[in-house]
Amino acid sequence: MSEGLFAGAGATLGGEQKKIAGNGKSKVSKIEEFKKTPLYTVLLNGGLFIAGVVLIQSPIMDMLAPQL
Amino acid sequence: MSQPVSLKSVNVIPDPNTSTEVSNGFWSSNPISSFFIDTYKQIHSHRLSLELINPGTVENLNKEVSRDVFLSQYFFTGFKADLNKAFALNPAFQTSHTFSIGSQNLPSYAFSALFADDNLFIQGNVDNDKSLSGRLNYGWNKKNISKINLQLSNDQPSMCQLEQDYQGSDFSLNFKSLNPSFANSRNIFTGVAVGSLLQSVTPQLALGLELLYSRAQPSAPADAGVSYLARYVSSKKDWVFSGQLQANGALVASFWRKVLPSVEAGIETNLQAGMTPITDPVLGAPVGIQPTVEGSTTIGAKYEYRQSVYRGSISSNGKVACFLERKVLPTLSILFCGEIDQFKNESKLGCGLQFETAGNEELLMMQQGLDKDGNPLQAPPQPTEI
Repeated sequence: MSEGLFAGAGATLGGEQKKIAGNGKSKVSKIEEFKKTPLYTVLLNGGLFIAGVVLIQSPIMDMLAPQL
Repeated sequence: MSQPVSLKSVNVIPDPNTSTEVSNGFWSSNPISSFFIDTYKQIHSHRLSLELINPGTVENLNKEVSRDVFLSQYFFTGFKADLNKAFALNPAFQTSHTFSIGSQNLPSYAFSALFADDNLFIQGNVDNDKSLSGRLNYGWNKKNISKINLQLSNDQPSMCQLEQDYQGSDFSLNFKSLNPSFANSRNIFTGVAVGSLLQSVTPQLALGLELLYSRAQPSAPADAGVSYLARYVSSKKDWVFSGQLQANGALVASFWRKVLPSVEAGIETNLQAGMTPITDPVLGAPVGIQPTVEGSTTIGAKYEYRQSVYRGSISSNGKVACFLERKVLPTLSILFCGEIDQFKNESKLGCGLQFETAGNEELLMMQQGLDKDGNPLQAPPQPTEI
């Protein structure tokens, strides 16, 4: 009986694990799908350009220049 | 008492029947032409009131980043030695021998010579692969420059480029043609023709267009495209933004800043749109096309001192590169460049020596920091020595 009970619980837990794994898999695949779209490349490089301009205009760039 | 009138004075009196007066009168009295003349005068006076300046050429739209800060123009692999000899400064005449080992791009030996004076610039290169290239620039005046580029190579097709630059007070015009030819049975233009205009809209902002027309064969259909250009220079001229939307689907944005007189930084983003065919996974036959965008962003900095120049860059493609040039003697410089591609696990390395020798005694004295009488030269203020 107990075997059967535990077996049942294990089966239920296994089912939950499968559900969680299934949800995680679908999230990853959506991100991977988005990474393959042209919009991702545009957003990534646009973001890098803006971040680079902010860095070059910031005082950090002044600190990277030696004051000799 | 009346004064005697000389014949000269009589001749000065305007004659209403002269051709100039008649033509001026016709153009000014004609309502259509007078409208255009008045409109042109109003636009011209408005342009003068804007105090616009020449925006530079389309070729140099993002020169500060791509040519000055980035090291792609200077990068080489393997080992090379440059032997440069200057024979005269004005007019300048200089020859150069370049020896190279272990490089994929540089020939084993190349010889080049250049001559330049106020109006004329001639440069010629020949290498051991029997490749010959030459460039001639002639300035008719300060605004008009004609350019000819020639390239004759053993492996590649020959190239001839004719170019005309016109620099107005607030605009730049450029026309160039690559391998132009009418020598075919139908007398149709073949080759590439490019016309570009860059116009200052405000003292800081310039907008431009570039038109491209190409036809490879008389029987093949011609291609045409338009590129859009923009350049913004800050009021202090310490930063520049430029953007290009090219006819081939590329978008290039660049930003440059002069941090200190000896330090410059720049960033450039390149997005290239295109189409790739979709193939059936089973049959392998094309079933359609899908839009693709490839992009890369590179950020770099240049440190320039009296005896050394350092350039470094990092790219979103995983490439980290540097180029160092150090003058160890007045006549000898050492070059070092390296690049690591982190994503592909590849690296490139280049080392070089550059010898500068003088072709006459005066230049030799100048290399030593002395004038022709042996007195120390009064050099202009230079960046800090490192």
